[in-house]
Amino acid sequence: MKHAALSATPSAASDTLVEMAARGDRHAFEQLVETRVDRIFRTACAILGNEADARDATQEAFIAAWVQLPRLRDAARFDAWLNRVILNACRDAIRKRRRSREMELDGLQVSAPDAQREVADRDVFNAAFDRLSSADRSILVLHHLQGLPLTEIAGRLGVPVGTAKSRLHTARRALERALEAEA
Amino acid sequence: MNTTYRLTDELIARRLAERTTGPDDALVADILRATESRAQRRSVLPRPWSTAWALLLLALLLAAVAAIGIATAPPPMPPGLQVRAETPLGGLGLSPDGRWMTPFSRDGHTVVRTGPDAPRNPDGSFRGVLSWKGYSGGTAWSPDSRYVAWHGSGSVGVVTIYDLENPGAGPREISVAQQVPGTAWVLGMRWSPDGSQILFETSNCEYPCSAEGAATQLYLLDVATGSVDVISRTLPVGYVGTWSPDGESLGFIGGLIVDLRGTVVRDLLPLVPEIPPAVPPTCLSVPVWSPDGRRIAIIEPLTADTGRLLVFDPGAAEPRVLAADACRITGWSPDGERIVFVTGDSFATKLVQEGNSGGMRPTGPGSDAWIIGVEGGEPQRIFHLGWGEVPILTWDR
Repeated sequence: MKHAALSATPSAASDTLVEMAARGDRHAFEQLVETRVDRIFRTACAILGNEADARDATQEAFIAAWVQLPRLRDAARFDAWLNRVILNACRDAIRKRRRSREMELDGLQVSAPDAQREVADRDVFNAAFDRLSSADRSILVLHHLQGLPLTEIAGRLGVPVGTAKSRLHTARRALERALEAEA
Repeated sequence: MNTTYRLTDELIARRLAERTTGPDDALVADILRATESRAQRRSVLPRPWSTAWALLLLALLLAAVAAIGIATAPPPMPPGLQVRAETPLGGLGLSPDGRWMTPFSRDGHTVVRTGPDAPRNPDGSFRGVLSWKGYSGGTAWSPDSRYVAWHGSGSVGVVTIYDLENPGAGPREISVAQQVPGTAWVLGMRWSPDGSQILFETSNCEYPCSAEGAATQLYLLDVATGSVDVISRTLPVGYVGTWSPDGESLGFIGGLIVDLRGTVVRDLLPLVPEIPPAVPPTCLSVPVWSPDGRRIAIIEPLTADTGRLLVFDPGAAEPRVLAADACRITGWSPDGERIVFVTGDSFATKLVQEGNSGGMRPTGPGSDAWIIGVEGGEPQRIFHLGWGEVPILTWDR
């Protein structure tokens, strides 16, 4: 069942959905999930690098959203808040994975023929990216995958633009070092 | 074979996109099924009616209890913890030894003695042994609980220190206005562990203060000489600072830890927004060191009034999540084995003035106090912090 509230402006309609979901409206929450699950899942995939973990993190993020939504005072901040929740879920997943690290011997390649170079490059990038801290991964995903400008990232993280820029620069340097180590 | 990568924006975006796939329908179904099973944890009553329903249920429960004569005894206190006193609402400012506290009123602060033998007025309210009016940025107790410091007794930029063991000597006043440029509105005073210095903050804007352009100026006041040293005039920290037990580091809201020269030495929560000065958040995300200084606990805020209780163990790069729902850390036990924390809305930020009477009336659902072992386990609820008398906790030492 779709709600009539969606006939308002997009942001106002979204705020209304958030408020309805906060009051326990399952249909409103279902619409929030359906319209945001793609972005949230892709963000988790990019940070975690595998679908299984991303799936778990996405599920945990939306469960947390459902349980804690009544405490969100400003419905207009729902998306920024959900972003924080998925980043936290990814961070938890990274911590768990570090505690039970798995070695994938098949992923080690001695040499890469030209035809497989692209695949090898991607593997190296993925391995390097997985070396980064959750904070570095998060800001790289926000900027390069979600396409958020630095001003938007600064706003979402609540830090000055200069700080966001500095953190992005630091994350890129960390990625460069990780690539050198993996290559 | 060495490979050199040209790390362009386009390459990063493409490689990150390659790491992703879209969700399938089964994921949405799984999410909705999982949240459905948790529906019982949510109040599904319309908000305007929730309070009324809760009050009705509470009234019915109390009537039932009264009818069958069951005593409503509070839960037993955990070992080592005791209720020192109950106090009216307000900024409590409990002294480290638990003997004194400083509830505030509209007109200023009062120092009262705690405990069952605390002197009271005929109407049952506490009788102050010391009171003052005027400016206030809260009070600060010396580590030995002998001195209490506050800002102003009528003059902005004056720190007043009172010796409770020598009341006849009167207050000692230290003017910091000449040593602090700009607004000398003294906030967030915290006495150093060795008692020789007081950390204080001034803000470059008045409350309420927007985040843009705001910065907190941090100073150290030498108690013996009255001289002031600058730690920083530009750090994006504010309102509340905590000292490490060794007196060499300061922790601030948002997880920044700085040394006494103002250098940031650690950022516990790099993804958490730094809090603009002079805007007190509901849940205080300020680092709290264990008594031996080896561990740090902090609230990682998730929403405006809830967060996660994290503990950083020595040598560990990542923290442990000790409790998934927490708002404030009340303190560590003296042996460092347990932590008391509070969930729910903070009582301290929910006072509204009642008409022109000068009285303060609380609003909101109150809070719950919990205790949890630092190694983990299930937290134990100690009591509910409602809107009547607020229990004051002290640890056996």
